[in-house]
Amino acid sequence: MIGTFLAALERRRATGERVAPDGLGDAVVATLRRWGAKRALMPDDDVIHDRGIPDALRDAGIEVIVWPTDLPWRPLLGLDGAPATCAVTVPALAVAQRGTVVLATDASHGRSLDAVGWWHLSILPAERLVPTLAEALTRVYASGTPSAVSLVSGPSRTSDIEKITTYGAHGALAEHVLVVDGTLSPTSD
Amino acid sequence: MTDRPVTYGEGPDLRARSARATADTVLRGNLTSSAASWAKGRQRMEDEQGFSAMRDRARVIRRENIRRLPELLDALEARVIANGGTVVRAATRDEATEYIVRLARREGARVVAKSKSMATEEIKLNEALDAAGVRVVETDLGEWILQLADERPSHIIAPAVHMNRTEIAELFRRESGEDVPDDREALIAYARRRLREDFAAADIGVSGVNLAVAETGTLCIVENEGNARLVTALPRIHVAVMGAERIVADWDEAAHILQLLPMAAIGDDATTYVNLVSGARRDGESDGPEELHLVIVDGGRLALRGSPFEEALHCIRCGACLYSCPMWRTVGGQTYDSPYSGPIGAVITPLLEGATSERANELPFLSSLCGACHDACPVGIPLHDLLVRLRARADTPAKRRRRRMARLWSVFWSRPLLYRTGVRMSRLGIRMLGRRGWIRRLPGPARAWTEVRDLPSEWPPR
Repeated sequence: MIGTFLAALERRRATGERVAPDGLGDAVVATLRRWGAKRALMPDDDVIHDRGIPDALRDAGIEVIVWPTDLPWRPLLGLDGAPATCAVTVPALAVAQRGTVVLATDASHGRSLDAVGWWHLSILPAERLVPTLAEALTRVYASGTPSAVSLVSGPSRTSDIEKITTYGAHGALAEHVLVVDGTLSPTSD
Repeated sequence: MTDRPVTYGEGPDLRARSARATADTVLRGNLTSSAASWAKGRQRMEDEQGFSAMRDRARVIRRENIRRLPELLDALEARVIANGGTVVRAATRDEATEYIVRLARREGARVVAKSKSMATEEIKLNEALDAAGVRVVETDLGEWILQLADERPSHIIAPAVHMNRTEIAELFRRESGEDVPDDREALIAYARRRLREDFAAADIGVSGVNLAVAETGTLCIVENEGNARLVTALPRIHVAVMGAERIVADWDEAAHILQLLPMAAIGDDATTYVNLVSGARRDGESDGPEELHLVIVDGGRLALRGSPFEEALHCIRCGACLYSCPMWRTVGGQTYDSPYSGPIGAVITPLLEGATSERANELPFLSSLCGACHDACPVGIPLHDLLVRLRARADTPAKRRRRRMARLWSVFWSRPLLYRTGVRMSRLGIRMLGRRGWIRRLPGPARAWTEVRDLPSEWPPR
């Protein structure tokens, strides 16, 4: 299923790679460096904290803002010379067939999170992949109704000018998914 | 900017509007190329995803949704309220508009950010908010371009499809005084920067609803740009405006329709974003609106249930019938002079505006009845059949003329003396019009006939 998902991401002009739990921190730093992000906006999520990702980013000289945040919208939207921001998300599920990550809103995952940044990096534990959209939606809503759920399939795009698809409209300019293959338990050291 | 006029929606006469639009070769080129790229995507969906096979189930789902419509709307309303939202059932367009304007006044709103919504076009929300002194910003790129150009959309999902990038760059330059180059990336980067200012400033976000899921009270808003997400997540209040028929029962049905919609609309198996909103921000959440208002617009829809036009309510507004239509591809969407254009526009505009409206008497005739729209429709609406029924119902000047002529003829025909005298005089008249046994040219309404034919004035002709 991971292979199907990565192929679907490519169709959506997103990128993705399989990483081992131990390599996650390095992969996150490498992705943000590749994009030139100066700031990371990320949820208060175990998957991120347990792997020491905020520290790894700070060590690399990248500012870390943890959601929920008191920052007003203007700097979050990158206005007034705010640093170029990468949004980091941890999907509740992902749909292998169509390369879609399913972002469920809660206190630590804002509903606007992935769309306010310049770039969107998803950290997806491999066991959260399901084959079809129908399965993903029934599963998400089986255990209660989140205030918002976002299905995200690739970078933001528009075909409004001459019907030619151009990327980087209002949401993220690029999307990368790190599929974490293996147990995501806290490191033992 | 080129000198050609770019709006064909004005003027009362459909024939004149069509003539103006067909004379515009740039417009026709733009329409043709966008229809061609749609057709290519659509074929890919057929080959890769088995699009046609998915239509049968979609048709069954939509038929059942509309059959159970009152019950589903009650369930949706109850769920949205349970999720902390407010629900307004607007019987008319004005009721919907008035509610939103009152809300904007109450909040002292200065800026309203909108994502693309046909329902708000239908209820003429922008005009009403403008009149109330509220600045309305369309944030979908195509709609924003039209707003700057002060024009109406030409396609349900690709509103600015009739303009090319040179025209758009010129428009942006005029608007900003900045030197905006006419390549697509630069145009989009400019729009992104400008509109982020408006997202940050907006007091109210207004969106449409592609589909509501009754089971959980969830509003599905489908898009590619990300503007609908920002519109529904950033401002203090989110107002969602939905046509009363845009509802499914549960997530299994929703998943099917949500998959089919982009395939039919843009020839792709997914859009970049599907925003599923089930209420305002909850305790502990730091974004999302504080209030969610769902405005459900009837505007004549519920009365269509049980009528010969019920199937028009099955529509999921994908825009496929527009691209497939040889008429739309020739005259463009603005010629219809209605928020809804193409075959579905020619069907629902008369239905929603009433049998006596001006559009009801002209739009059903803007079709060759070729049936391509039926083939393209993901939920199998027999649009050409509905158009025939609407033509039968319409009251056009030509029909009125024919009725008058028929009455006159019956007076003449039912009196033997009058009939015989008339025939004799006609024979004389025809002979007088002829030259050497042939009539080459006739005056008045018969002129068109003789322009390409001759008529014998004696029998046998010389």
